[in-house]
Amino acid sequence: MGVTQRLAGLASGILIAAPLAFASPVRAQDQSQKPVPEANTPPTAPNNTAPSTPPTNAASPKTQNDTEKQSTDISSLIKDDNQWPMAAKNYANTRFSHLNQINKDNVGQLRMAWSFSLGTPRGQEAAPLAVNGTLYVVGPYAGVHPNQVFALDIATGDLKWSYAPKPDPAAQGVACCDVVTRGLAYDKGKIFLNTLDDFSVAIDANTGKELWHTKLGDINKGETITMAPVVVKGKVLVGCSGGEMGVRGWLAAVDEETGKIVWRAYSTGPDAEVLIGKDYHGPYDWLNGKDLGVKTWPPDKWKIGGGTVWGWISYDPDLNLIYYGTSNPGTWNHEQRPGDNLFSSTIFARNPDTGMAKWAYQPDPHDLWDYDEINEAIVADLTIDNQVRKVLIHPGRDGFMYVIDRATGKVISADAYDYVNSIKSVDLNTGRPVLDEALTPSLGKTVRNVCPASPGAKDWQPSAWSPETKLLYVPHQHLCMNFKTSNVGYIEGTPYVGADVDMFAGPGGYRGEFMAWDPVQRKKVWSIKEKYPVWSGALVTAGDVAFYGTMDRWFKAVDAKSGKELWKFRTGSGIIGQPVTFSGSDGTQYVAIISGVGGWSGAIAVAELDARVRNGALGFTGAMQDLPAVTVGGATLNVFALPKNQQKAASAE
Amino acid sequence: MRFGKPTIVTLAAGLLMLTFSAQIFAEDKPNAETNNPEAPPPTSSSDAGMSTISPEQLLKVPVSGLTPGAVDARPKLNLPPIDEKAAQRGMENFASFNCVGCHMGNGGGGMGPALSNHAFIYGSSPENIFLSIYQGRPNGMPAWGTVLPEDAIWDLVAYIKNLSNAPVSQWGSTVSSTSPAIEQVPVEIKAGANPWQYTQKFSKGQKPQE
Amino acid sequence: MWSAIGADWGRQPRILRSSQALGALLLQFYAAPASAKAPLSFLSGAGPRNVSTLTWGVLIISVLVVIITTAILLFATFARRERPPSSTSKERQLVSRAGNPVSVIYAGLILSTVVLFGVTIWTMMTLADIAAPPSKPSITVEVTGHQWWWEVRYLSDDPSQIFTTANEIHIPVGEPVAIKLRSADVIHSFWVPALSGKTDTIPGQTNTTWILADRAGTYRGQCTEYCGLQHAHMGFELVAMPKEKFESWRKDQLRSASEKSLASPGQRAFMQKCAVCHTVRGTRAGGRVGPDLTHLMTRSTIAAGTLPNRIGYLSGWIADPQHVKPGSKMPRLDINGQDLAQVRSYLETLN
Repeated sequence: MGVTQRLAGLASGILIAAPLAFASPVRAQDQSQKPVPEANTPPTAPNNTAPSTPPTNAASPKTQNDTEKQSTDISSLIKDDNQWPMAAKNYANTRFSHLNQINKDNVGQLRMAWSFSLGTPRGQEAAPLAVNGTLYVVGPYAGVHPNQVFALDIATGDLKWSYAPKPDPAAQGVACCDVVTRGLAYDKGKIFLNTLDDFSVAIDANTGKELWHTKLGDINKGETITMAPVVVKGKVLVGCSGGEMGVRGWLAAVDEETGKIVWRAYSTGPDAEVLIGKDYHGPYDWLNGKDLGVKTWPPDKWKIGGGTVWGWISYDPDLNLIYYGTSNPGTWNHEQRPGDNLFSSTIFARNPDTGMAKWAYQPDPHDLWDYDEINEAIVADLTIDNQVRKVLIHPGRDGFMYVIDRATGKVISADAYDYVNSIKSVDLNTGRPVLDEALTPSLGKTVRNVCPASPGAKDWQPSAWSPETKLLYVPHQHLCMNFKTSNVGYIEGTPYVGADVDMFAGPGGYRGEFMAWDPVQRKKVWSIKEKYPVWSGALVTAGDVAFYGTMDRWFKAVDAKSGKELWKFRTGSGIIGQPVTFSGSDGTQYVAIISGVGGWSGAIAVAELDARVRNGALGFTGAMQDLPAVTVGGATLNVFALPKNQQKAASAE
Repeated sequence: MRFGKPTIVTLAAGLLMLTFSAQIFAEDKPNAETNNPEAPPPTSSSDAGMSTISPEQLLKVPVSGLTPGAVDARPKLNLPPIDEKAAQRGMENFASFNCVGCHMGNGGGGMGPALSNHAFIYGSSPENIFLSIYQGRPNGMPAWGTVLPEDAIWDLVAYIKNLSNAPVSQWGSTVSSTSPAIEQVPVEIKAGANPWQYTQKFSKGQKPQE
Repeated sequence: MWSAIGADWGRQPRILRSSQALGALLLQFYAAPASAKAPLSFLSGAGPRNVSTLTWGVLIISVLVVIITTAILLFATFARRERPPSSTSKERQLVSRAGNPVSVIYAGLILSTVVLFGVTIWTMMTLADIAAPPSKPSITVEVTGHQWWWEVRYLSDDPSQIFTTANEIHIPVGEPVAIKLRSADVIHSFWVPALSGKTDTIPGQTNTTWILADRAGTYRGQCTEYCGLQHAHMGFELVAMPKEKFESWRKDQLRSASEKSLASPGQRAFMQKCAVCHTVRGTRAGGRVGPDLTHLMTRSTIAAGTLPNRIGYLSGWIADPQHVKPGSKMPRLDINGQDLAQVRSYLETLN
């Protein structure tokens, strides 16, 4: 453990074990990747540390060794900072890269290397994947070829192949919040695509040929798929969207070789279908009991109870647990579904081999406001009260930053990171939120000024965690709303919402923020207020630069320590995508993001919505009605790099 | 001035006749407009007013603006009444059948396109709108024809006509930092079958005035 | 009933015969105890005893007052008396003939005051008595008035015990039951005359009342605030049953409808023609415009107490609800004979 110990010392009390796959020496053996012990070793220094060396958390950039066969295994690719092999970069979901050719001193020189138009006008939430010199991108379910996949050469920008699934355009009618996709997955020479109309497809990463496709859901039930799949131990993990459609949410594991469904875990219903067995231990009393997924609902309501799985999946190989959150319960009118409504708005820990649940924690029992808890749960080890704790950091949709013990599901701390009045605090003894009862909606009455609004203080847009600064970089929004419920009938294949919502800017008049949060000190370190919600993901690198995009068409780089703006670039359309970084075979560090406004927040600028009717887009129109005056839709992949002379200077440092 | 008895009687009779004929006029007028001799009773869409028009006839209404030979082939159909009472019922249907879930409160648009402006992808005539609901449309509009009675669909058409009745200031539309100038009073503040009656200053994403 | 009234008719005093409506009403109340015979009688209540005692007491006092006053009035009108000698001092002569005028006025005043005051106190005491139920109700039923039917939801702290039915409220005998009243549209009023507790349902407001039946039986309830075209056909039944029977009824109502018949032509036709408005729990039918039909066949009436729930009536109702109940939200469907038979046969499985 020499390397780890050294780093732990450097870390001044806070140890970050990421990427966690390193923890297993057995897995590390068959990898071509060669971990570099020192975090600040220049990328040109090859290192042949024996693979059996105990794991390190500091995968350093390295040049590719041409004599060795390139690894195609996801568990080794995630440790290679030349690659960006999954949407969240690694199983820990850190979105942190050790690449430091681009750093805070030279980022101001960043230039566009090349760009590529995806030919679609709707929202671009996907992360590009960079694997062994090729960049894989996917477009939303719009345009001539919905969910089209493109493979591009990183160094030249040449298009290698493209793949278009066979679409059922009616799927657009059951996709609640624009027809987005959040990205692809890669493992063993295959690209995995989920289509909006519920297909999971495997494509040969070299040729673009289809290997298999499997239908996982039914649009007539309101099921769609928007999430980026994650491959864990040969299984493609895919969940469905449709929490606004009376869908019964599930997460499925699909065999990556055959396309067969290995297991499917529902979020509601009897234990046998939620995959709750004797290994399950709820962190609090109220989360233990038989068939809670049935008993915490009025009879049969769990069958249309939401709890869909459309966000991020993280994985701790040590504990062999995957972590993910489930969506809001259906309907938005809480009076139609008395009870805690388990396991909606819940964070699950499951065994990826069997799907069996280990624990489940519900931050928002009996959700009142559409607070999905699908946001990322970042795997990190923090030193809290002089104790190293294995935690999940979960920036909750309800505006609270949850730090959770990832072995048990118990909440260690929960603090508001934006203005919140719907929840006063989180009771750490019971794990339950303390609500402001005065704001509880009742049928037909308008409740005013509820903060955060339905998209929460933060929606799907993923944060980045730097093990160097020990800060979490959180893109989020700052919105409040008026909310009025109505009774709604369930009609299969139509929405099941039951609320009129009207959102607007929160206190101070701004609508978004990019902030750095210290999860140990439990406070905001710095923040940048933005006019519009920051609906893009975040990226942070060892060069101490954090990247994010804004809906008014800026791609920005800021100092990871101070938040000082270092560079910005005006893109063709607003940004709601995920910034990524990687190296090409030419040794150049690239930063890439797909611009193209849309999503729930940006639908007003790309879909046929009316800015003058505030209740549109489930109320988001109210908060975004001036967006069409600054941007329209249009998807472009933007790839940036330093000029050649700057690259050399950086490498020589 | 003095009136004899006969004079008064004649005058009274004349007045009576005048009132009578005025009443007839008043009753005739709405019927003449809607071309429906038997308007439905005020509280029901489904009684005497069963629409006399069949979807087959409606199929003759073109959706395209192009007609080979430039012949205007739009048939003249006797449509059911599209009036305020129908719109009121249509508003209830709009909520009951979850139209509101996609097209949102006051038709501002969400999963489905906005109905609050004059733009209709598949035609803006009542016949076009009826058929869009009846047949569904390929990009996500469900086909309601097998599920809803035709009268309920006509009531929806009447409501949508109200929703789309946005004020027009110019032929095209301008979007800028100063345009549009107005927005609707949102539905949680004021609900009704004719939402464009209530407008306020454009809020630019800030909390609306109350 | 009506023939019985007719037989009594001749023996009634002339003065009552002239007010037919009042007489009929009174006789209906006399015709207790059968709730079936006089389903809306509030004088033979099975509710809190003191309410009917008060009702009877006040009624008797009122009738006595009317009789006495009428008698005096008639006497004063028709009694022979001497013509006044002159047009002057007519009043003085009149009162002087009746004795001491002042004492008569005082006597009348005191008598009325005592009686009215007594009745007021009695009423107040009774009202105070029934303001809260005698014991804490263990069952809460949420009743929502719709144009023109009643939605009935049994609440519970345990969400899995909550269920919805319509137009029929079952309660255990001898136990107070809390009623939460809501309205989906306009003001209605909830009243089971035999058990008292008339309370309005007001949109945007939840009113609460309670009911108690001390005898098993079926009691008729009715909307008693004019609410539109079919106000008269907005009835319901309240079934008071022994505790064990009630429990088994409740358990039965919690049961979901079987999904077995999912692919049956009847279910298909139902999903196509009915499901957007009606819920059948356990299936994909989840509409909320009309009543929940999960256990339709356990209910004794259809269309809010308008028709008996028998196959013939049910078919007629589905085929043309606007004929039975013009203005009702249930539309006349374009349904052919075959579909109708299939839908009906599917409904018959909902027990």
